[in-house]
Amino acid sequence: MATYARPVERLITELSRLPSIGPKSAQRIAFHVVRGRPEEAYGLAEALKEVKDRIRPCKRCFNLTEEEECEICRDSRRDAAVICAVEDPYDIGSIERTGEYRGLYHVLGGSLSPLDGIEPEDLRIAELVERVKGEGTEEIVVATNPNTTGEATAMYIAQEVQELGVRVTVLASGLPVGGDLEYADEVTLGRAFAGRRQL
Amino acid sequence: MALYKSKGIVLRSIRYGEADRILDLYTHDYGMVSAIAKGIRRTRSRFGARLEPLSCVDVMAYSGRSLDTVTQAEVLRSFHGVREHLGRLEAAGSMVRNVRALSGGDEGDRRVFNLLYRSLETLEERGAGFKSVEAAFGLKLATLAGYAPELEACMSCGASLEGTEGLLYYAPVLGGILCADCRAETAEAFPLPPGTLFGLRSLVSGPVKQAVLEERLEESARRVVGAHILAHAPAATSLEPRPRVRPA
Repeated sequence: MATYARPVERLITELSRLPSIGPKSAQRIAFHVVRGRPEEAYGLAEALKEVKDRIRPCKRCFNLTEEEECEICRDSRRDAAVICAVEDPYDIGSIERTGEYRGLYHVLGGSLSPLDGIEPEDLRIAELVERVKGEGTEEIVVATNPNTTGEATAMYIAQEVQELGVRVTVLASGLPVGGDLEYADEVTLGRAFAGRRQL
Repeated sequence: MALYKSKGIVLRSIRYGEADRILDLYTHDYGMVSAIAKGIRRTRSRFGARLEPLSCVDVMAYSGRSLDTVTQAEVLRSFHGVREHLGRLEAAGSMVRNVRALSGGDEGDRRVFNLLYRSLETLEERGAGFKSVEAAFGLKLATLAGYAPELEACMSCGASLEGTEGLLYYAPVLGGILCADCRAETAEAFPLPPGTLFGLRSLVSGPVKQAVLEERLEESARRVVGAHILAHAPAATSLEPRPRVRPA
């Protein structure tokens, strides 16, 4: 026998499918919705429906968009000669917030992982190579995560476009601003030394 | 909750929750351990790059019901030379998948830890012949796990393979070689190019550091090792590729 009324049980079940939401959290959120104002719940339901109905990948860069092409790809003021390759669409938001980059993007859909058997065919690397050939790209900035899989992806991309004469760069890595040198690990500190700059 | 300390090699690292990672480590004292490293994905995490896959670390953790929790980690050897080269990384990837597949129980085996450490060290120091190291590692690992391939006599008729003329076949399910007369014993048997048997024997008997096969034999040695482990490993499903799910 169910503990709560069927619609409440259903809501708990659906919520517990979400990442990082266990049964207890799902129950707490469900009761928050039950107790809350109706327009808040309807707003949430409408937002969920809208995102599933209207959002799709940009046909050029695979960022999320409502149109055929995303806002960044359509913006003629951006530097079309530079493509920044990122793992996921949410990485674009982080880079945009820096205000340092004015080129285009390419969402790879993850990172290459020889350790887990994730192969280049599982990512959108072939599509990136096609873009470079077709759009006269001069530079690819590989902004994958600075870890084993992200760096394997960067190495693979560099290898794939080697003969196309395009410049491939990766983001610098080193010490985080505001951190203490004492706590830096050997690999990070080693890279910070290798990439030191003149003042 | 018991706090413990051991040397360990990070085999796998999976994103978990907001900023955590779940790690599979092969430890010197306790064998395979799964542990969570909380907050590791934050740029200001105290773990930094210490727990990247393939790193050999001195790890301190406390045991939990299903997952242990890492509290401290110090790098003993980062093996970043392996991570920063695609050929080496591919060979290491196959090696760590084989360790995961052949480590079914909770028992630790220091020989497995030492073999993995030495093999990663060899990969890092080498400029070529990565597949030979990978094949030698796989054969030695299978032997330590009790699944040594039979390379001396035909698995079906028992005839000695010494001085055998003609093609030989490898039968993964039977765990060894079939002579040309017995090749029909199993449909999975595949032919070995001339010289492969000698190459496999040299990989089994020699140290990993000296594992060198001719380039033309490396691929068939890898195929033998891969098929052999897949046929015998208790956790062989972990060797199969992940379902291809592409995020939007």
